[in-house]
Amino acid sequence: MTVLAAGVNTLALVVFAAVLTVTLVVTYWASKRTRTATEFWAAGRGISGLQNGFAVAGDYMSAASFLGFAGLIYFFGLDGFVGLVCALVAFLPVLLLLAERMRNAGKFTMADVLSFRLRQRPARVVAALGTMSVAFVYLVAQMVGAGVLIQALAGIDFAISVVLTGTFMVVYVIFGGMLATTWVQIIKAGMLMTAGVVLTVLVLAKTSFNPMELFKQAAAESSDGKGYLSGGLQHPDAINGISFGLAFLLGTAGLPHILMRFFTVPDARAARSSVWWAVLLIGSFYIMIMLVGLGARAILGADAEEASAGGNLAAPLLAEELGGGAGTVGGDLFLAVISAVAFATILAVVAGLVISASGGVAHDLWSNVVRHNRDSEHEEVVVAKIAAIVLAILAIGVSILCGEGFNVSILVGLAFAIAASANLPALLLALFWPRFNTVGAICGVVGSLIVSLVMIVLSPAVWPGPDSQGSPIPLENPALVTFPLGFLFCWLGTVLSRERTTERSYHELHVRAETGLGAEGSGEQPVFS
Amino acid sequence: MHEVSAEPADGRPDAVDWKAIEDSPEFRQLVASRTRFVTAALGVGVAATVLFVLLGSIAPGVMGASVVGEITLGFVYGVLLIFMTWAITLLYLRKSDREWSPLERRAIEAATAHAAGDGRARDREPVR
Repeated sequence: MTVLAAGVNTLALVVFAAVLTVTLVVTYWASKRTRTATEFWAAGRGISGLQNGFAVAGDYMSAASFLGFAGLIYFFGLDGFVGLVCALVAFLPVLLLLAERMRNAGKFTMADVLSFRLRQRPARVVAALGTMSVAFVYLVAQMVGAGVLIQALAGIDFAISVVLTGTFMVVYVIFGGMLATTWVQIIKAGMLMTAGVVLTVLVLAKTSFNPMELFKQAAAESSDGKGYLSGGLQHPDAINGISFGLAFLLGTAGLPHILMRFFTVPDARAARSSVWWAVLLIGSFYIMIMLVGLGARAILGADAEEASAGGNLAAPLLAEELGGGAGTVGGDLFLAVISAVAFATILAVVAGLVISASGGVAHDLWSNVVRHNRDSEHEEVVVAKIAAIVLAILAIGVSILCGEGFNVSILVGLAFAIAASANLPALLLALFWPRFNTVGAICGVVGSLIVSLVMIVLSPAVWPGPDSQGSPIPLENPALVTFPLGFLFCWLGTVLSRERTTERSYHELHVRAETGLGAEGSGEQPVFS
Repeated sequence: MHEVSAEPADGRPDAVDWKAIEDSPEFRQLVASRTRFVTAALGVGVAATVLFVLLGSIAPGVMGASVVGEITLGFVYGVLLIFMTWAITLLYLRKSDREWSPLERRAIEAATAHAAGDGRARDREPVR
């Protein structure tokens, strides 16, 4: 494992460059087809269910799935798998409660649905706040992952790696909009699945295609022995394990970049079928990650714990070993390819995050709040591009200043916690509770956002340093507390305010969300002509 | 045919009468049927997953029980939850195509026939 961080790795750079070239060609192609706001935000609503399923999977299977969870399973066995399973079941609330209703009642962003029948300006401000907070924390998590990965694998300095990632992310979004972002996701999902299958087959081959042998060897290589396969290692306090699982189970339905994907399809039927393709891909991938994580333990043993940088590099190290070991042609090549896949994964996810966050700024704050819907859609797109650049600079800055040393999936878990507590309760109540009003939405989003942020800053993951002891709040992930609080704040704000008049009735939202009557059409120009 | 209220529910004179559609038998049947499925599916799915998380955190003895050789209950349970998610999703898609989509269409047709007769909402709301 001497390749790691031992100067610039030329082979890895060549493979990285090949991946970047493909994505830039896609971006150039998409830029020719992205002019109107509907094309920029929603790819002209011309993405099919299957394509969107791949894109949702691409958006969702971040560096946390591939690197972080493989690492958590490598370290903690069953505990890492619990988080993965929660992250998949999380698509049930998305499918059963949100996907079609979002598509039917919204236009470009989550805020369209949240603010449907509330007072537009305040409701959109808080919705944009929720969107941007989640996107930003998630963005930093992914950038840190990219930095650690590229530094370790290609030998480029952490800070330069983060800047490079941020630059490409902005290029995709600015020039290619949602169409380029979608196709970058689709390509990346294909690459990731292929890598997963190859790694899994090689791991199983090492244990003579007998899963029982794999489990046996993994347990034998763990200092916890049988405890490795029984759970309770990662979180000695049960409450932390529960909160971590809950964040993944509920956070997905509040992730703005995932929800935004349902605006890119032509109708509710395509929205449904995209969830099916997404869960099929993601579920298969998670089963493979389970085997890869166990394989890393069985094959690399405890020796790689040091080199795996908090677990994040367990999968690439395993690839190197399976390819023939450090220093061999096969080992180097396989390491480079798997690293490039992980790099593409991160690039695609950050592009999706930036386009959703810039939607919060341009569509929700600028057009609807500052300009009162008076200006052209062209201006909205220009503002979005400026917002994307500013967000990228901020995320790059924060990642470089304080990012190194965090486990990527812990950081992602925090983003999920904010999504579950600030976004999800308000969104659900807006759709399903006729009495819900603007004050309730403001209290819910702002209240739980503040509590979540305070609890995160004072948690062991952040205070007084990454993964340290002696923080004021023992809970590693705040979701267990902040998710119920989100509902409580929404309810309190609603019942304590006297507001009765709303801009549009609950009856209208209810009928439109359930039937698709009056849903945004797919526009005049078909994108794939 | 249900009754037309004199004032549209949201007070805009040219608006569709959403309340009337909401009260129509087609719409009620659609919402009732879909809500039944969603409640059951979500209840089962979330309960099974929360139990999984709880057992994984507090009961290593249970999750560490051997199912086949060295493979423990925890991993089998988790993989079964992934299968469950696939099954519920497929079931939902099938019921959507066979039961709810026709109901959606009927609810919209009833509403637009109603609105056209009423002479109010013809151009305002594009209908699929």
